[in-house]
Amino acid sequence: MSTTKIQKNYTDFGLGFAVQIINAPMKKIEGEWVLNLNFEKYEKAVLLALALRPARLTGNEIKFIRHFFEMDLKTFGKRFGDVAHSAVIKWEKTGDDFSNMNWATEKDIRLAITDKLRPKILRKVYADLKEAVPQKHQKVKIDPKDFKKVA
Amino acid sequence: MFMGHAQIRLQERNVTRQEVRQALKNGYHEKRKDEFNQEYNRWNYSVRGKTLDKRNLRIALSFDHNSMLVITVIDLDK
Repeated sequence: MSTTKIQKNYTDFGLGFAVQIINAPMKKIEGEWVLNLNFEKYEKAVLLALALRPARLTGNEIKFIRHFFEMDLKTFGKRFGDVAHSAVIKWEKTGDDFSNMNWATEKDIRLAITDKLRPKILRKVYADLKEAVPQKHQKVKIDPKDFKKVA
Repeated sequence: MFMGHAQIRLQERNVTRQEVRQALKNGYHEKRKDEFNQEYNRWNYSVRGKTLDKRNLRIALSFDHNSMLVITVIDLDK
C-alpha cells in the first residue's frame, strides 16, 4: 500500500491563518496522513504570496511576517513605521481581520519581503503597490510547484 | 512533520509552527518528561523552550526513519 499521495486541496492552519495548498504532498505515518512539505520553502512561498496579494494584510499575517524576520515587537515597530511595540500588538490583535496599519507601512513590509525573496521583481512590485489594495478577504493559495520561484 | 494531534493543539492554543521551531531552537531536553510509547514502540521526547515572544512551550516529539515528528504542543503559560 502506498505511503504517499497528492491531495488536490488541503487547508493548512499551521501558520496562524488559512492557507490553501493545491496538490499537497502527503505521507502516511502511523496510520494518519500528514503534510509532507519542505516547510522552509513553503513559508517563503506564503510570504511572497502575501507581499503580492491584491488584498490588505490581517493581524495574523503580520505576526507570521514578523516571526519570519525573527524580530521582536519592538524591533519590528522600529523597522516598519517607526512605531512603539504597543502599535504592533494592536495590529496583530486584529487576528483574521485587517490590521488597519497605514498603507505606507504595509507597502514597506511588502517591499522588504520582495527584496529578501525576489529582488529582481522589486521595481515591478513597487509600481503595482502604488495604490492601496482593497480590504477584502482572500485566502493565500500555494502550489508546491511554485517553490522554486522564491530565493 | 506535524502529526494530526499536534495540528489540532496548535489551532486550539493559537500556537504557530514558527513558534514551535523557535522553542525547539532555544529549548532544552526535559528528560523527566520523556515517555515510551508502547503502541508504536518508540520514545516521545520532551523539549521545553521559549518563543520569540517569550511564550513557554513544551513539545513532545519523536523520530520516524528520517523524519522528526511533532506529537503535541503544550502552552505552559495557560
